[in-house]
Amino acid sequence: MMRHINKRKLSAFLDSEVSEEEKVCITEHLKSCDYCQKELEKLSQILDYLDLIEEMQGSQYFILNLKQRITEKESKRSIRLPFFEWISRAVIPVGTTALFVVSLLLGSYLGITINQKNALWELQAAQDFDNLFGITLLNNLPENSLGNAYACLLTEGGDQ
Amino acid sequence: MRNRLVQQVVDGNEDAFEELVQKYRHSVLNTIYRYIGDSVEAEDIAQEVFVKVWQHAKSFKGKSEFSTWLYRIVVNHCLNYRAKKKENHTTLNRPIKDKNSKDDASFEQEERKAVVKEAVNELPERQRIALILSKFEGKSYKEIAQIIGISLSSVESLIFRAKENLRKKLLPLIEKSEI
Repeated sequence: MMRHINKRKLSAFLDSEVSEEEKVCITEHLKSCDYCQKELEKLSQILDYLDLIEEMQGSQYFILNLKQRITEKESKRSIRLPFFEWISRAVIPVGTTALFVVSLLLGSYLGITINQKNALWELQAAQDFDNLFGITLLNNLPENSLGNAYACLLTEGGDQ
Repeated sequence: MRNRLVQQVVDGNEDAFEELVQKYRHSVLNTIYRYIGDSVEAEDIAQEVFVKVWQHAKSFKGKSEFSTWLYRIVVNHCLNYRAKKKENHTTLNRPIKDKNSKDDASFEQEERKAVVKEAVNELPERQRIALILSKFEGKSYKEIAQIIGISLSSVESLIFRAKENLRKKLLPLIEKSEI
């Protein structure tokens, strides 16, 4: 039984979009297959009917109208352009510089604050240490006691 | 590589642009007209296409043929137009027979044209544009694939389905000799 040509292939054949090898095969097949011949004729007929859609010539002022349209569009763009130029030329560099300066100031402020806090903490810690273990506590020891002698050693020991 | 004319357009040469418009105007205009079916709208869209070419000529790097780049703009404008108009779907007007007119042949011819235009207009968007580019602009499947941005086999399929759809719509009428 003879195999017919795929309709999609037949459509491509009609548009000369098949390889040389396929073209030869299809042409040979069409010589002996009425069914495929009729299918091809139908497809071809459909495409012929498309020629009924007439061409249009367009206005004789096409180029003139086009130039006018371009001029209008470019004038609109030039009105908007300074704004965008201002954005790109001024705001972006100024914004970047401002951001840099703010970061610098913020960094310095944080650095100073942290240093001050550290100094305060150190002072506080020293005071706390003095309060806990400092000489002031040893002042109240009874005279001639071993503790008092040790306190004397701590405060004046180096001199005596 | 850009050819001389396109390079001159990129450089802002208005005379070269006019030459370019003259060269492609007819094809662009008719591709759009056959796609949307309205001559006034087609002219408006064609102008928008050339405005875009003038404004964006620098973005054409010459990696493809200039005509491929141009038709890509045309196709985008056509598809955008249809998307906008989808809500207000318009049907093409069939000619109305004048009872006093004796010229039946002319009326029948107009009727045929209207039926074919309607059948084309009812094709799905991509089938229609692929068929128009192939049938009327003589573009190869490869070029159409580059223009629409699809594979070669998809183009073959689109054009085949377009023909099949047209056949379904027109064949019964052809057989009955109604058109």
